[in-house]
Amino acid sequence: MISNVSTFTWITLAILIVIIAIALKLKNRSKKDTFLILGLVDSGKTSLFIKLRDRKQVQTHTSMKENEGYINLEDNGEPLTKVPIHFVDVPGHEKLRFKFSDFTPITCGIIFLVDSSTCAKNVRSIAEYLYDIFSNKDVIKHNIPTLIACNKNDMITALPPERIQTMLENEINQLRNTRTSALDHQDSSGTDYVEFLGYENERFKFEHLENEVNFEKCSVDKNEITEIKSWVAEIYGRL
Amino acid sequence: MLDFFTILTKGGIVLWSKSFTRITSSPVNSLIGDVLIEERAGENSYTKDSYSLKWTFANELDLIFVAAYQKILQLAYIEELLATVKKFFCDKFANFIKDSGKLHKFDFDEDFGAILNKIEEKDSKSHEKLSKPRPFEKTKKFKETAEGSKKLSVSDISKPPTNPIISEDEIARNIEELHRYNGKRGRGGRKQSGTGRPNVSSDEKKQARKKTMRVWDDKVSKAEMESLDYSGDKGDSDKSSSVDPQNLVDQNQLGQFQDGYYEVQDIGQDDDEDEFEEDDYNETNDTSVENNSGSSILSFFKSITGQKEITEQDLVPVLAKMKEHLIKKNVAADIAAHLCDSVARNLVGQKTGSFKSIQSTVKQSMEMSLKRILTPKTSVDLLRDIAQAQSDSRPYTICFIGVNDLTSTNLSKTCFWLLQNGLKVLIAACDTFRSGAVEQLRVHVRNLNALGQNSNVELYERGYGKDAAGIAKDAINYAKINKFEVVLIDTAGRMQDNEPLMRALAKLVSVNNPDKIIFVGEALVGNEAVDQLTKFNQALKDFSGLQNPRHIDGMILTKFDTVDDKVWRK
Repeated sequence: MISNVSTFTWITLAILIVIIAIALKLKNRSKKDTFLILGLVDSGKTSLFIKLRDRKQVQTHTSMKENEGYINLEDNGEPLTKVPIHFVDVPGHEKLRFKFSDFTPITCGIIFLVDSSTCAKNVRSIAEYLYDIFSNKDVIKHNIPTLIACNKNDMITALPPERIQTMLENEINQLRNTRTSALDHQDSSGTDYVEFLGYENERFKFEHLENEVNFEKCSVDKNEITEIKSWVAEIYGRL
Repeated sequence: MLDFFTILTKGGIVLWSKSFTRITSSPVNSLIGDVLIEERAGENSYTKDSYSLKWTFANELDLIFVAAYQKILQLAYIEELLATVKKFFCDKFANFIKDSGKLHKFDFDEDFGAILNKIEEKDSKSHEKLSKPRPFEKTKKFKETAEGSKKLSVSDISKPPTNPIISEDEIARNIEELHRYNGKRGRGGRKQSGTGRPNVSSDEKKQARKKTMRVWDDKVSKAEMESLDYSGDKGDSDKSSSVDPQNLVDQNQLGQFQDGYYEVQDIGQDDDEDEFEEDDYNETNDTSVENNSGSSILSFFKSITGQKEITEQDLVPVLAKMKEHLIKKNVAADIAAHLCDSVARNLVGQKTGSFKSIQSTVKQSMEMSLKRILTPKTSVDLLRDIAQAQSDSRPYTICFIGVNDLTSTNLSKTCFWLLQNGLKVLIAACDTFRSGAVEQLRVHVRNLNALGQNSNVELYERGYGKDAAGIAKDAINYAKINKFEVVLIDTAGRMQDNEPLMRALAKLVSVNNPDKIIFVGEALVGNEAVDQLTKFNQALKDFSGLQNPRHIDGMILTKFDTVDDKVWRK
């Protein structure tokens, strides 16, 4: 009789511990602390990742796989945040881009790198990628803030961020009409409804979006990435 | 000799590199973009500009080793070099590489130099051995001479004599193949112009039908002549608007306008999940677990909890089953083999994740590769492209090519969708060979105009027997003048083996430079499709005469309801 009671209490204790452990794990999993580094091929994402992590310049080739790591952000030796931040650099190749949607549930900020010197030629691809990002259901649901960093600012042919902003807005304006009347994809999982960004009767502007979009210029080569770092620190501080 | 050698991670970071000459373009980027991401990693080498590249993977550490040399050279030792360097590098720096938190400087120059020298020496020695010619005694000719035949060696006698007489079975088999081959050619022969191919099968077909009395004199009765006369204004386009839209299409099949956008009606989809697959894999799971416990208890536990390093032997049964499954689902045999090869290359050496069996790792990897292959590289946003062409004030041209005459019907279907989106379309009848092709298009145009509310579609034709490329060019000019937004070019069906027709097609493409070249194939054709597509593509490349030839941009797969069972259900 007594042994029954004690085994009974042991069992309930064990179950309680298991439940608490699971609850904690679930809570941790829903924590969003990741920053995604996205962009077209050759926009400088992997170089940015290495610069943030090791403060070194390294030769890179097209990424086949994502680079991720916990990085301590610092500015001239001074740490900007208390804990290391999780960064993920997703390959920009068209065939591998879709992987970014695996990370969006845990994302709290997106850094989108644009190559300012070749921006004029690639405006359509950049706009399509941005459209995909902004139509992603996690981005919409959590209003994930985005920083569009115009990289390679040191090149002669680089355009200023304001010009790039106008070009992208025009492009997305046209895109949203054609996207919504396009034929369905074979793999439309879940929502078949394609998002229409912005307001219907007005030309598209980034400020119409619910999530915050900022434009900054930077140059990973010349180590001018302080704006990115301070933006990340600010977004992280808001959590 | 070797131009450069690089070691990089799969994430794109270069760990070590050495170049012996100045590198002009960036061949490694092209290698990654064209081959590795496209899942063609099973191939041996890749050529771009003036470089030839060979590579190998170290999957457990996520590394790629690439060696590049001049394309005109033939260096046989590169693969050995890659393997040796891989082993050496991984052994020496494994710990550093695994610690992915920081970058390290890899001091590999001297080691690499030593390995390279050793292998080059070995290679040049083996070359010397090969370059000495055999003495005359060892050649076949000597053995056939009088002297040689006397000195029969033991090895000659022990070999069974080669039988020059082919057996009867072989003869029968050959004849059967010849018949089949002729039959196939004959069927294609009906559709080809100019070449006098024997119409074997068409004759057979005629005889198989019921025997009607043949009329041998040339007199055609008046009634027959009237019914056969389709020329002129009889039953024709512009004037007779007495086409009832209700009779044309079942109203339920039309799509709907939602929020001002036209949405196409979906084909009835099957909601059944692939439960069959799950059962299949559970079975193999059990058997492989049993095998492992047979070998050793430790590896058995390892395989369940993961952390087991995948070797080639483990992969072979799983991949064989996967390949069989793909082939059963009607994937072409050599493509399935290629895919499994590439997946194997990516997986060898990797550790399975926790609590995952090899099957699920392979399945996951296969899913990733398939997803990668099927993701289009360029955007498929047709409407956007059309708007772009409009802003350049020229019409957007789409050219439909195919093996049999499916192009007209599918062209009309595409035209319908474009019309619903409010575009002005011109159809160019460049099928000048098949009788009735132009009339068929005329009927389509009449019906399309009747169906839609504001449909604006016209037909541009110049009759039969003319040069297709010329008609297409005139059509595009006409469209430009009259502000048509899209031009759809219909071409005659042609077999992929017919060289003159392929040339004509390539000429049409190179003269007119259409924005999209779409191949229309039918789902019935099965694995033949692989042959058709490769030959069409190759012909377009070879016969175009341009520096950067066009190739097929897209494909429409039609008659999908005929293979419904085989593809969508079990």
